[in-house]
Amino acid sequence: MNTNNEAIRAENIFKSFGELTVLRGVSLAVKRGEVVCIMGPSGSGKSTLLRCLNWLSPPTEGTIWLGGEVLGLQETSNGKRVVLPDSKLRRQRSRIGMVFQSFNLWPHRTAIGNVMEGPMIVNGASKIEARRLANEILTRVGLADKVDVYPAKLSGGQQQRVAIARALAMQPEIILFDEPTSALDPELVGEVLDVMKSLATQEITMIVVTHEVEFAKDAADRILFMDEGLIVEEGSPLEFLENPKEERSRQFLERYLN
Amino acid sequence: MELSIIFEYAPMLLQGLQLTIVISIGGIICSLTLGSVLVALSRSGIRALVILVRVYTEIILGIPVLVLLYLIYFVLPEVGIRFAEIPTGLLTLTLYYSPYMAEIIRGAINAIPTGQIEAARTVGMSNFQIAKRIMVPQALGLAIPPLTGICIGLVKDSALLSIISVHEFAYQTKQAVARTFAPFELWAFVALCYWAILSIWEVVMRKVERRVTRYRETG
Repeated sequence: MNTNNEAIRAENIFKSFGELTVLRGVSLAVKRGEVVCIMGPSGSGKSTLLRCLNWLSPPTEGTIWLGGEVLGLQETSNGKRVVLPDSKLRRQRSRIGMVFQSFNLWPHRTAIGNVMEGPMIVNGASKIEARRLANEILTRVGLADKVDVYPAKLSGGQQQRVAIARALAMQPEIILFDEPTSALDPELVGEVLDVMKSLATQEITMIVVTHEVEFAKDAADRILFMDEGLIVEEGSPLEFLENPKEERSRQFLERYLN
Repeated sequence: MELSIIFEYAPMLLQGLQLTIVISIGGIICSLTLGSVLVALSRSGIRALVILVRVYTEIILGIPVLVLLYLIYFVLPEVGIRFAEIPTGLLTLTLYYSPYMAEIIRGAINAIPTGQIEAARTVGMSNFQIAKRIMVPQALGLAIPPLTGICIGLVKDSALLSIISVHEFAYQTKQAVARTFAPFELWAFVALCYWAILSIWEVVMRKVERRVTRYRETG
């Protein structure tokens, strides 16, 4: 299998929580630099899929490759698959950024403290180095004047931009966005989407779970539509948004376009 | 009322106060340590240890501190385990207060949203790094007010050790009263001392709490 230009590939992912099966065999491959939006009704398994892709919630079945390397598991000499040692899993995780719906900033660290944490603690960068990098990234997301402010004093949109900066600071191969604007007041959605759009043009690989149709239209290379734990349709934004093939996609879009 | 009695017996009383402070600090350090160990054990995921902590906690919560003191001082020697007075006192305070400390620590840790811990994982932090960098700094601020209260309880309960002749503040006062027959002056003085020290301690801890939780201010 040629995985050279693939950032991430997932094959036949199943995920169950006890009796409840949330993912029923999802496969996807995302090329380097590609921006993929995942849409679908709530409960369709979008967030669960993202959480599988960075092993926050390991899949029950299936394989994920991160840049050609199996994620979260390793093969023993007799061909059995076992859980990867924690230190190696952490290395892999640091290559996958994640932006959460509820920001999840560390409230006891300032904006720049949140961004410096990973480079310093995980990558072993010096404080000066980490600060320089964090300053640069916070400037990129438009928060140069908020570096020393604690999250409690930032708006939701500013907090989410700090969270994006925190993910960027690790220079990940891919960033996962889990409904990054769903918890925001409507007037703050734009500033976060603008940052994400600019990332999309900078060859950063992104998988974005979102209900923002306009964002998907402008920024996505491809849209996946999920329902009941499966990818039921995929296509370019134009194909999918203008001319959805599946009945379920049509119903969903009707609700969100109006 | 004769205040001169207080001055006369001041050296003796202050010696007691000194021991009270030493035992209290020792008791706080030991019970905090044991409390942290209890939390670690109950979070270890090993069933036997979790049950052990539960049983220990239930037993301690159901026994008055005075009875625990008697058990250690009078009953344990019957089975061949004998401690001197001061170690007995320290052991009693440690055993009695550690489950309360554990409960406070557990509560503070549980109050940290899991999303923050997940965010730390996605950055690639280890469990130890998450504990040190994300959980402890925040748990500290949450735990300081209830810990201050429980520490005050420990200091006050240390006066019970006078019963087994630990020469702490209350014991020394009792001795002085027996010699002078001036209970009013002496006990009033002792009460004032306890009150003053504990009140100062409370004010200081409130300042410390405000300092470590400054990040929460929204204004």
